[in-house]
Amino acid sequence: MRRRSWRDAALLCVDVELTGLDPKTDEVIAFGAVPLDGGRIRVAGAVQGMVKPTAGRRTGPVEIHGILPHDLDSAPPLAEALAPLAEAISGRTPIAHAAWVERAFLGPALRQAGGRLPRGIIDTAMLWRLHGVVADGADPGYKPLLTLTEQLGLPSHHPHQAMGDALTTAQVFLALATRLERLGHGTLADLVHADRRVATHHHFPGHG
Amino acid sequence: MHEIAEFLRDNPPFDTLSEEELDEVAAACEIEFVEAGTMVLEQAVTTPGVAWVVRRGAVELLDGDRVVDMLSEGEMFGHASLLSEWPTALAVRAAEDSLLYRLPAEAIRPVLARPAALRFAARSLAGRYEMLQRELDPLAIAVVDPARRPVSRLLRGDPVIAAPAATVQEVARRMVDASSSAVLVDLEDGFGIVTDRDLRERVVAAGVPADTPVSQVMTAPATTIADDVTGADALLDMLDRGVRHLPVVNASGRVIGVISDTDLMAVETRTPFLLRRAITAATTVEELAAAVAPLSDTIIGLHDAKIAAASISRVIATVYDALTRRMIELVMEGHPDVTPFTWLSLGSVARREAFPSSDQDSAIAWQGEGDDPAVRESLARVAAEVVAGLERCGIPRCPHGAVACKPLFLRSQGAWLSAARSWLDDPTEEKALILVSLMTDGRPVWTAESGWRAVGDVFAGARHHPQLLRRLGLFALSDRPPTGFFRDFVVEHNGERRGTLDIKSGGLLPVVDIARWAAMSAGSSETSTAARLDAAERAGTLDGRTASTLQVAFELFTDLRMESQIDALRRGAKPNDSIDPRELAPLTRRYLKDAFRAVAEVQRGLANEFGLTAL
Repeated sequence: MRRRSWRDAALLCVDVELTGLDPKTDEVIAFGAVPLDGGRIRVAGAVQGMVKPTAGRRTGPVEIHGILPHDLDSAPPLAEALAPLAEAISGRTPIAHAAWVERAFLGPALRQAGGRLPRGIIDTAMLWRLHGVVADGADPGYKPLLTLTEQLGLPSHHPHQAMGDALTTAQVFLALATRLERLGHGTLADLVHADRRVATHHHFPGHG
Repeated sequence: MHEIAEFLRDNPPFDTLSEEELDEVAAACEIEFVEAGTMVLEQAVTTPGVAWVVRRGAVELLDGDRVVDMLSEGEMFGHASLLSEWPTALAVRAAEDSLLYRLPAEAIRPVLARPAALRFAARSLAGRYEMLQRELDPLAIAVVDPARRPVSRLLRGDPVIAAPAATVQEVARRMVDASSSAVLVDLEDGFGIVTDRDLRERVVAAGVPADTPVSQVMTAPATTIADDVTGADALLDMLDRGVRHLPVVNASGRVIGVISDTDLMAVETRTPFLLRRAITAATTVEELAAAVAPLSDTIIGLHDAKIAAASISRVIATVYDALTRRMIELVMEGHPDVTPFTWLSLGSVARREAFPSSDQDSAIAWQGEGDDPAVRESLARVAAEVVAGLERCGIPRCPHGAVACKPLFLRSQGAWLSAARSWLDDPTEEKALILVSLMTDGRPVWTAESGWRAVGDVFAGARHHPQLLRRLGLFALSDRPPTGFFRDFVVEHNGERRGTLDIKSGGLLPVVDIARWAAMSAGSSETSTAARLDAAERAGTLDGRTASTLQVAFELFTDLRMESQIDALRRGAKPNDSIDPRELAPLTRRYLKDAFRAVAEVQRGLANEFGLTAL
């Protein structure tokens, strides 16, 4: 099972918009997700939604995600809003860019919606670093999503909107996973545990 | 999936859909990523049930190992097979890392079935058929284009041969029996020929009795051609000689048939003959202008009949030659006593590489030595009338003044030869390099006497003048391929505005100049670029790879320039030399890019040879 190719895995690319980056005080106000099956992004399976923040909270960096307080007035509360995502993510391996955000915010949020965040998450920011290590023998470090789309020559969908970023991340994932597969790192486990291989590189730079 | 819908909307057939319909298609789409070199679709699989749109990158269409087309962003594939339910005609392979939108049959079928999209679908299917006919099967090309087949393959039966004593009536009957439009008359040391036209004009119209021996109405000796000559060359030969039948002779000298113009061409392309006849029959400049007016339509017709661009170039040159000859004859009627002279055609017409945009470049060499102001002035008047007459026929004069009425191009034969010798010795003389280049291309199209000695022949000794050759070589590097075009714009789809490029100065002229230099270095007196490259390769002044690179590049530039000028003619616009690479099919664009790069590489190599490193 661990040798299974990523192409045979059921995946879900997720992105969230937040009021801020502090897990103790900030919360999810929008999400977008798109499934990947058989190595292809299945647009028809996409889910997205907005979340009404807890009373009194502001929307956070409007200049980044463009969501205004009144956009969220009619949105359902968290438990209800995230139900479709909780259902979509069940049985799938999540993919996110800089996945610590999803781990920190989506885990608790999904629990409120009666679901849970699967444990193994693929982080496209880490795949980029793994690709650098495997292809060039050097870790390029963390790069934001837009930098990756540019470097890979991919189109980017509405940046900083959850659905647009989820789709862009999914495309970045396809490009990186395809290349890593050719370089001999194409199993689902390789991708989920990309951080281990990158860490190995730092401890034993000559390795591999 | 707003962005997917937005993207599709910019590309046919999706441009005809409403917002809702677009959103539906976008929602049904799957996105996949393929690395360069990955097969997306195999050849001859039964209908894949999916159509693809290239979102980013490019894919190649393959027949076996051969790339026949390349699709880039916004282009669709797989739909022809999906619609027709035929197996896929071509395989598809990613040419670059590509992002593809994959549209299931149930989403794309309704789109393609819409009346507004049917044109798109029909075009794709027709394109597919045409591609199969033209691109994939060299035999199919030969079937549709007699111009590329040897005449031996175009003959329709054995020749009808009569004795000289046979009567006109017998010959006419044999012609009808054999459904032949010409009969050969066996003269033992050669052949005469009688055509159906001869019977009408020389027998019926002239009231000649039916029992007249055929030898009295035949044309003898008949000009023959070899059996391995291509249809296109045979046609040009006919056009040049003004005949419609040529006996075909095999390697052992035996006549194996008679080829006629109808064997060679589709009906609409036969008009060069009508054109030529009208030119010969014209008795005034006005009539000449009227006679040559249909040339544009003829050129379009030849192009539509899939005659190769190089052959069309030669038809244009042949028509210009006939026009110039007739023009000189008409002008000479008003100047019966001028000194005998030879009229030289220069430039692209002289090389038989003419285009609809070609202008007149000419020179006169009169019989005699040195200068004679009285002769020069009287001939300048003749030349001015000829040049003006040709302008009235729609051929502009050379903007740089390379025409026979200008003093620089109007000299006695002796003066030309001594000038040529002085250029050999001192190539730094003013305009020497330009004049050497022009005169090397020069070809006599009209002459009052047979004593003409080609000025170009003087340059046969050019290879013994390294100083001249080196300078000519450097001169040949003065036109450069458009290097701004080298940026990888097949990959770069950022919508950045890119200018048009000049296919003549950036593509054709560099090859023409190198070929001329290389042929002179080889001591060859060939006047066409293709023949010069061959000669240079044989003599070793160009290595085989370079010569064939330049041949292929020259052919491509010729095709593209002809295509673009014929487009202009069709629109009623003035043909010019600018080509917009964005309007080219992706595969053509790639070939063009490769060709420019190859020519630039040859130039760099030569520059090194000449010790010039700054290129």
